[in-house]
Amino acid sequence: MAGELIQGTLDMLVLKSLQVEPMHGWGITERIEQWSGGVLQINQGSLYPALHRLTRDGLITSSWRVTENSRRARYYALTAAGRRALSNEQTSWERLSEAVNLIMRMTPG
Amino acid sequence: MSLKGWLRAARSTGRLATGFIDRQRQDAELDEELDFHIAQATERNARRGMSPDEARRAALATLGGRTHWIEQTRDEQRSRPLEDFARDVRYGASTLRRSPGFAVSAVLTIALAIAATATVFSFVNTVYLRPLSVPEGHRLVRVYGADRPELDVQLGFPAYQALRARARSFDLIAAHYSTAPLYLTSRNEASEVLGAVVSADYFPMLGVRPLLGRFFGRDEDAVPDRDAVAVISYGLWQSRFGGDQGVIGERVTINTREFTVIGVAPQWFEGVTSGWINELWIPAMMLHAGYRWCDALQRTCPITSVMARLAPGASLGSARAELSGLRQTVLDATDPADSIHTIAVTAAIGVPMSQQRDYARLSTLLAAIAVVLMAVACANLSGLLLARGFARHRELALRCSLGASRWRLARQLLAESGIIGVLGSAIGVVISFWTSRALVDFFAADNEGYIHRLVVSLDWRVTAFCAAITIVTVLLFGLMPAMRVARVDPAEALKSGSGSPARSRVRSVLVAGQMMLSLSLLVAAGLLTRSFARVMASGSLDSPHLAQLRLRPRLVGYTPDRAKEYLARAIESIRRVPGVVDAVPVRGSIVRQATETVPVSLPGEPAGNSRNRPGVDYFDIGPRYFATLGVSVLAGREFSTRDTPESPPVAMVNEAMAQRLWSSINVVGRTITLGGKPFQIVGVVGNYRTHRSCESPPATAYVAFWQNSFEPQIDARVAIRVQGDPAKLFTPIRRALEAVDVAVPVTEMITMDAQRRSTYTEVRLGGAVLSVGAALALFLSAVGLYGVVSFVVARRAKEVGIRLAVGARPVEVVGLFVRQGLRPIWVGAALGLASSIALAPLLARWLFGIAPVDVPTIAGALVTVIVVAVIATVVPASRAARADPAIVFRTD
Repeated sequence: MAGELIQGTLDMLVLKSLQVEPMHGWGITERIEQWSGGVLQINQGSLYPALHRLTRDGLITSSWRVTENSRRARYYALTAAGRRALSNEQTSWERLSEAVNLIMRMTPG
Repeated sequence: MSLKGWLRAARSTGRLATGFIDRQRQDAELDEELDFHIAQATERNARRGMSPDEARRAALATLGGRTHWIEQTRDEQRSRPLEDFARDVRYGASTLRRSPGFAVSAVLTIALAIAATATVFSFVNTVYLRPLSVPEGHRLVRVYGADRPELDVQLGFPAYQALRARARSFDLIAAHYSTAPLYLTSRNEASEVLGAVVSADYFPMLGVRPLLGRFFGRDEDAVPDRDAVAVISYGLWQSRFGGDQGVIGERVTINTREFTVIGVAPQWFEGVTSGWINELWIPAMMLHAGYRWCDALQRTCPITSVMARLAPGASLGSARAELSGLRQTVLDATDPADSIHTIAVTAAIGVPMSQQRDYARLSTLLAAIAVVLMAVACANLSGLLLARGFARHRELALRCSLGASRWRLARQLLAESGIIGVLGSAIGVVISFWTSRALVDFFAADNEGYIHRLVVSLDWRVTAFCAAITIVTVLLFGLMPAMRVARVDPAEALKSGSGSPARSRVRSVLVAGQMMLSLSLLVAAGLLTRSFARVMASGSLDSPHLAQLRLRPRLVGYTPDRAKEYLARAIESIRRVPGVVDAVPVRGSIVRQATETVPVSLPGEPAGNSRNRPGVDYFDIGPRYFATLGVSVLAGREFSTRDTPESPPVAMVNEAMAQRLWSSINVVGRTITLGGKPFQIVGVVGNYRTHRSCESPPATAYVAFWQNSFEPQIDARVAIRVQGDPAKLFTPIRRALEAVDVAVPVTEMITMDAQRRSTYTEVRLGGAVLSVGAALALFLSAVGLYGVVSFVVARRAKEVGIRLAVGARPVEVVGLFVRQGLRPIWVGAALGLASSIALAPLLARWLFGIAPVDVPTIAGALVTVIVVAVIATVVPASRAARADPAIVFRTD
C-alpha cells in the first residue's frame, strides 16, 4: 500500500503541484515525489491521462515552452477554474483526512 | 433547445471534426511529450549511478508500455463519439467474422425480408406515390370530377377551356386524351400506336423540349380540324423512320387523315399516363381524327382529361380554394349526363386514379405477404440472436467482470446488429432491383395485347423507406440482446454455464409462430396456383394453338357493305397463310365475357313470363367457330357458310342455357325469340369456361355472324387455329392482311394463351408471389427450427451422454429430441390451419373452380410443412445420438 495513491487524489496532487508555477509532466512527478519526502511515486502511466483529463475539463491549460536545458516541453498551468477546484479539493481533503485520523486514533475499549 | 444548448452542440460537433484533423498533430505531440519524459527520467537514473542502458530501461519500465500509455492518454484527451463508433463497428465486424454462420444467416434473413418489402414498396411507389418524371413533376396536378368513388370523371374539352380562361392558380393547363388508339400509316407500313391528343400547352406544361423539330404552337390550338400536325416519340422515330432526321415535314396517315410530322419528343418522355406509353401526339383541335365515337370538342363528349402545373406561389390548397369559387362556371361546361358536382384537384402522382383503384386489391395482397415475410424474418432473427446471446453469455459476463462498462458492451452488440442490418438491407435493395422489375413485368401486356410498362425505380422514397425499415429492425432486434447485457450478472453467468430454459421456450414460441405464418402462406399460394391452373385448363379450348386479332374497318370509316367485302377477303387471306388451319370471325372477345346481353323469350309464352327473365349473353360467330376453338358440339350442328342473310335465322345455345330454359339439351329444332326476333336452334354446345366468373358458365346464345342478326357487322375479331406456335405466324398473317388492304387497322394480335394469362394476371401474380413468399417463409422457419433443436441438443449433451452411457439406444435419444422439437410445430400447424381457414374468404375473388377451404390444398400444405419440419428436427437431433459420451463429459 505504501507509495500508492488513494484513488481520486492524483488529480488534486497535480493541481497542487501546479499552484506555484507552471511545470511539465516530468517536473510534476519530481515535485510530488520531493514534497512527499519520496513516499509518493507517481505512476507515469496514469499521470498523463490525468493531465489530459484535467485539460479537457478546463482546470489546467498547456503550452509548449523551452526548458532551462533548452529542450522543448509541454508546460501545464492552473486556470482560474483550476485554482477554485484546488481550494475546494483541499478543504474537503482536510475534512476527510481529519475524519479518517479520528477513527484511526481511536483506542478500542 | 436553448441558444446555449445549440452553441454547445455546435462546439462539440466542431470538436468532433477537428478531432480527426488534429489527430496526427496530437499524436506527434504526445510522442514528443513522452520522449521528453523518458529523457528526463533516464537522466535522473543516470545521476543516481545507473549505466546509460539501465537508466533508459528503468525509465521505460515506469511508463508501463508506450502504446498503452498513448492509448490511455488519447482516451482522456479527445472528443470521442465518432471514434468510439468507428471502433465499435470494427469490433462488431471482427466478431461477426469470427462466427460466419450466424452472420450469413442473419444477413440473408434481413436481405430476404428487405427485398420483399422493397419490391412491394417499389410497386406501391409506382402506382400511388411517384410524380411524373418531368422537371418539377411534383407541381403537376390532375383536375377531374370526383363524384363517383370508383372513377375519376374526365371534365372534357369545354371545361378545360373554361378553366384555362379563369383559373389563376395554374401556370399552364392542358387537356389531353392519352389513350387514343391511332392507326398510323407511314412509309408503306401500317400499325396501331398508342397516341395522345393534347392541347398546345401540354409540352410546355410538362417542361419537355423537342429533340428534333418543334411541338405544337398556340395557333394550332384555335381552329378545329385545320392543323394536321403530329409529334412522334423517340421510339417510333427509331423503329418506323430509322432515326432519319428528314422525318420532319414528312407526310403520314393517321386514322385515314394526312398529317405532317413536325417534331420528335426526347427519348425519356413517355406521356403522362404511367404504364401507357404514348408514341404519337396530335393537337387537341384534331380530336375528330383521334376520337370517332362522338364530337370530343363538345361538352356532351367528355374524353379529355385536365392537367395543370401550379403557378409559383400557388399550392394544392389555394388551387382547391380557387376552384371551389369557379365551380359553377366549370360545371356548366361539363356533360350534364355525368352530373358532376365535385371538382377535385390532386397531385399528379402514381398511375391515374381509376387504375389506382384497380391495383388496390393486389397491392393489399402484396403488402400482406411482405408483412408476413417480415414477421417470419424478424422471428427468425430473434431466434438467431437469442441463440447467439446464449453462446456469448460467458464472454460478455467475463468482460463485464473485467471491468468493461455495460454501456460499452451494449453499444458493441448494437453495432453488430447495425452491421447485419445495413449489409442485409443493402443486399435486399439490390435484389429488389430485379424482383420489382419481375413484378411489373406481369402487367407488361393486357389481354388485348397492348403493351404497358410500369416503370419502377429506386428513387429516394424507396431508399428512405428501406432505410426506415432497416433502422426499426435493427433497433428491435439489436436492442433486445443489448439490453439483456445490462442485466448480466457476471458471477451467476460464469457459474451456471448454460442458458436458461425460459429462453428456449421463447424460441419455441417463435418457431410455432413462423410455422403458422408459413402454413397460411402455403395454403394461400396453393389456392391461387391451383385456381390459375384450373382457369388455364378449364373448358375444352385448345388454347396453345389459338390466336386472335381484330380487324377494324370502322376506324377508317368503312360502310357495312365495304366492310363485309373486306372482312370476307381478309379472313380468306388469313386461311391461306401456310400453317393456319382455320380462321373464323367473331363479334366480341373470345376469352372475355360477352359485352352485350339480349332479352330472351319462348314462342307462345305469355309476355309476363319473359319480362323478369334476365337477358342472355350472346356472340355473333362465323362458320366452324367451335371446331376452330376445339369445343365440342353436344347436339345438332355448327353454323356453316350456308347460313346467310337470305337463309332462315339460326342460333346455337350452350348447355347452361338449354338447361335453364328447357331443362334438357335435346332442343335442336326448337324456336327461340332473341331480342324480339325468332331463331331456330340448330345446335347445342358444351359449357366452356373462358371468362372471369367461371363458377357457373352464363347462359349464352350464339347467332350466325354473316346473318347480321342484330346489326350489320363492320369490325370483327378473328379466331385463328394454327399448327404449332401461333406467335410464329403473326408476321406472315400481317403481311397477308396488308396485301388485302393496308388502310384497315389490324390490332390486338395475341395468342390465346397470352390472352388468357393476362386476363388472370392478378391470380397468376398473386399465386407466384405467394409461392415465392411461402417458400421463403418455410425456409426461414426450418432454419429457425433447426437452430432451436441444435440448441436443445447442445444444452442437454451431458444428459444424452449419461443416457447413452447407461445403454439407451441412439434411436430413442433421437426420438426424444424429435418429439420435443416437433411440439411447437403441432401448435404452429394447428394455428396456421385455423388462420388460413379464417382468412380464405378474402381470396375468394381470385378463386375459380376451387373452394376457399380446399381440402387437397390444405392437406398438401400441411404435409409440406410437416415434412420440412421433420427434416429440420431430425438432422440436428441425430447429431446428439452420435455423440461420444467420453467427449461430452470432458467438455464442461
